[in-house]
Amino acid sequence: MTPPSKSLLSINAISRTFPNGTQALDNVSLDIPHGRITSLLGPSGCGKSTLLRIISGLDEASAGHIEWQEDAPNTGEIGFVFQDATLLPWANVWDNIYLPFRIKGTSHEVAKTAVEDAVSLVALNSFEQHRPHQLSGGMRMRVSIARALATSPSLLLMDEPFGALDEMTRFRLNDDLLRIKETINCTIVFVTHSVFEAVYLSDKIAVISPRPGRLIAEKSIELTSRDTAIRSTAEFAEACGKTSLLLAEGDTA
Amino acid sequence: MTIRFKDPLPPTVIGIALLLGWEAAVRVFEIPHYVLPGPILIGKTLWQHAPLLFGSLWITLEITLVALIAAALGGAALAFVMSRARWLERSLLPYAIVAQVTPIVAIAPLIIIWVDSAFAALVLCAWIVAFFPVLANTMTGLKSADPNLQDLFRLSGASRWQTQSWLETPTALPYFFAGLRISGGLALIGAVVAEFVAGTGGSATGLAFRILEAGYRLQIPKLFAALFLLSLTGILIYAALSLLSSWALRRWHGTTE
Repeated sequence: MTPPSKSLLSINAISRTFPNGTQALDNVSLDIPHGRITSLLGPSGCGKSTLLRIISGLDEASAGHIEWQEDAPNTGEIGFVFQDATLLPWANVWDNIYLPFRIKGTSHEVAKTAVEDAVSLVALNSFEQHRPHQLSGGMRMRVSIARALATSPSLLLMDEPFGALDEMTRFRLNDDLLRIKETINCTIVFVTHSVFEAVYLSDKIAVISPRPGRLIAEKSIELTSRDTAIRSTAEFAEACGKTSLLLAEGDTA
Repeated sequence: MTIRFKDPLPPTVIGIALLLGWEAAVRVFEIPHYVLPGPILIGKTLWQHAPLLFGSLWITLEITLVALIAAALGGAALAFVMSRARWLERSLLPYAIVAQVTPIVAIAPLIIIWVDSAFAALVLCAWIVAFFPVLANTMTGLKSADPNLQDLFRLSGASRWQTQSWLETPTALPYFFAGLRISGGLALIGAVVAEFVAGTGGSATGLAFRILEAGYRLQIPKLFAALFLLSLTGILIYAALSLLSSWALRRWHGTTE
């Protein structure tokens, strides 16, 4: 059901060794398809976050390079969602989402529509004046997602964004993310160590081995639907099982 | 961290009990007032010498407050300058530490000789004692910004100036105020120590000199009265700074403290 898609960017033989000698990534090559959700799945410390930082430009590869199919995005055109909500604690929801605009020098008036659309997208309309400590962990994460999406990035990078949340909240935010993905057309690279989350969200999963991170397998996920009901079907269980096997292969390799 | 007396009853009871015990001990053991005056006599003496003592208090307070404001501004400004570059921090911090660890009593005589105006000399002494907590805390605060938020600012293409004013400075604010509360007490101590060293007589002298003077003349009740005023001043400065701090940090509520 997933039609073939051109890629937004290609990761070409990227390795990363830190100055202290730790090798985080070893010769990883991967295509990130345009307009799809790609998950980087692997155990903690396998270098998947490092790969995300290299794509964003926050870190540099020791070898290899990122090849953009069209023009490389300019500063501020990549959205990034961290594991923690990473909000300014002294600023309210509105000002936190407005922050990227403020840095670019966009006035309140000009940014107003974009900020309010982002607030609606994550359904926090009545909380614009709340400060982070007045919100639940799930709501804080939604603010963080709204901030990343408000500037309409072509690429959204998410580094285990729901890893610190309880399972109920996590399920809801997974559904929210899929719904948001329907509304806006952007490419998402999603880092997770949860097989279920990866299968549920992704069009494509890249399975990465323990440190130093190597690409073990690429797997397309084609589910007949993406909703809560599918979580309890044999189809979903089978996809998860196959993915888990791939993950286990990497562990013994 | 602000110390708050949620229930004022226990310290009040202890205070009254101590004062009663003190007064009783002085009377029962017939301790001469030039050794230990009772609280009632101290209160009477304070009342009698009120114009003189409050005049002196005002002078000490003026020195303390000017030094404290200079410590707040100077400490914060130095912290900003040092946070701009590692080499600035490496070149300047050792001298700030030298100023901090050298006992003020040892350098006060020199400062009093070098600086013409007595007021300026005393303020300088108090400032040297008071600025370091503001400097050290603000520097820590400026470096304490969440690394993820720093990454976010980088990704959004923020300039150094934007990161400093919208991320690092607000992060440092609670640290700055914690330092300022310590500096408040130190400014008073610095002012008193400098006055002890300067020891100038005449009409325009602070409380510290009143203490010395009363000691020489064996006017121990007056000494205690001056001492009481000094302690009260220290407490009031701390309370005022705590209020200022919680007012300024009301938006941080729930994230710090």
